[in-house]
Amino acid sequence: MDTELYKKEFEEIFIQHFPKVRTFAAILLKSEQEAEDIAQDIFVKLWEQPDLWEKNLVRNYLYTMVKNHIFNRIKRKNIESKYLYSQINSHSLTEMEEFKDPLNEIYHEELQLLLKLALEQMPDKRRQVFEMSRFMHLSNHTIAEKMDLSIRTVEQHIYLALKDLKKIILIALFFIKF
Amino acid sequence: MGNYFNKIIDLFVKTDVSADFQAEFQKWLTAEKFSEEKDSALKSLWQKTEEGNFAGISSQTQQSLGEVHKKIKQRQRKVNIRFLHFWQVSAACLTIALLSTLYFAINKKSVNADLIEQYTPIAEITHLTLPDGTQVQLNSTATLFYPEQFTGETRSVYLIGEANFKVSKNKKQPFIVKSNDLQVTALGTEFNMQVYPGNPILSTTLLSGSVEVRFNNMTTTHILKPNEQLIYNKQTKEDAINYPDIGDITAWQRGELVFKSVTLKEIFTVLERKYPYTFVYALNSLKDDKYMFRFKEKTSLEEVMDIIIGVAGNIRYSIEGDKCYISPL
Repeated sequence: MDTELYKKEFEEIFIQHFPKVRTFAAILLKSEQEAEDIAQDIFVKLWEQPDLWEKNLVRNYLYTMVKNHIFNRIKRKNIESKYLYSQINSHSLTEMEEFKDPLNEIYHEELQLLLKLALEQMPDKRRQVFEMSRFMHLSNHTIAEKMDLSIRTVEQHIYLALKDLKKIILIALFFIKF
Repeated sequence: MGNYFNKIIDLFVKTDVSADFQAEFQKWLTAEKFSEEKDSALKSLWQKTEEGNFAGISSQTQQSLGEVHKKIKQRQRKVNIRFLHFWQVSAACLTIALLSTLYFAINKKSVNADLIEQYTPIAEITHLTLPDGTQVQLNSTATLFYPEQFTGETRSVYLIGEANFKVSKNKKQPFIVKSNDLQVTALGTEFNMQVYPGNPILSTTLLSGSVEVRFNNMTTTHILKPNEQLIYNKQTKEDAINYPDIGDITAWQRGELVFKSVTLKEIFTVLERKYPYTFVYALNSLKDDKYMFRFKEKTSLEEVMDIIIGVAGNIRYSIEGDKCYISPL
């Protein structure tokens, strides 16, 4: 086999799989640049391993490689920046009582993450009001003063925030139970 | 079960999250707890991620392809510089010849060969028997790819990590273990191979029989005799033959831990594979002093750490959740 054929074969695999590897890394690392670096490294290695170019093998191999690369990057970052992460005290959310379930004890961390994700998705004002109310335990009156809002608006924000939370948690619970 | 995992990953992908949350999510993702559940959620995300199509190759992909070709050339140049002038031409020819034979050999037989992926999680060791009767012990966090049937002229498997192979005899069908940087060919023999991606040191130790080790980037091959260990350092590109204590090499298969003249950082890397804890430490806080330790099977992490700290002296540790924090005294 000549080098041109070898190159052509490689490029076909590249065109088919490179975008997938890059996208997968980009959505987990939320960084296009890091994703591009990782994807390029993986394919530079793949060039030297034609024995892995076979259709099914290459998919498994690329998944394993991209996952390892992503995990290594994350682990390296974690060691460099020892951050502390805040705990949402889900017990302070009495509205979440109805979701008390033995499974939720096992998946405590996962539930926390879901709650935080729901908070991340909220508009800024709504999240701030909700955090003041449920985590800092401020009264609606105090929040209204601090944020320069009417009490009705504060109540409305809290109502909508709880609705968002329940929606996300309920969907997750639904999948778990059935 | 565990659709919490799919849900979290899906939501994370869709949400424009803060830097703090991103760090927390990533820490959760890489934590050992529920790693299987997370892996299957990641796999389903992987399957949903679209592949490129041939009709419309994007300019971005085109650009990346150019970059990759450039990097490949740079790597090849680096390797070639290592050969004496007189070797240069023949080395290049040999590499191409080797790659093409390999390519054809694989292509011919892999028409319907389904590959099986065996992964060993942290803190476990997997025993498996390949279709030809070869016995494999796969160390923690190692992955082995092998076909459902060995139908070609060779029996080829692909290893990431560390494993011990007791190869069943079949002179007509050589047994080949491939890895990123080297490949080992055996007829009927027992050997131990360590090719963890994060570790620049690759090693192959022959217990009995005979094997041939070939580096993918070079044309050199080594034939090992029993009790010989070939070490290759990916960074310095140096190789050496050692005569280690075979009991040390196979210690991991009995659950024992043996460290010989290694730094604390290297020790922690091994402990991270053996115990389900992540080590957290500042890189510059550890000295490069080398230590020797030997631990019996089923020694707990606390017992191991107490002894290491006692010897090293200037550090302390604390275990919280799935983390083992190391800090200077």
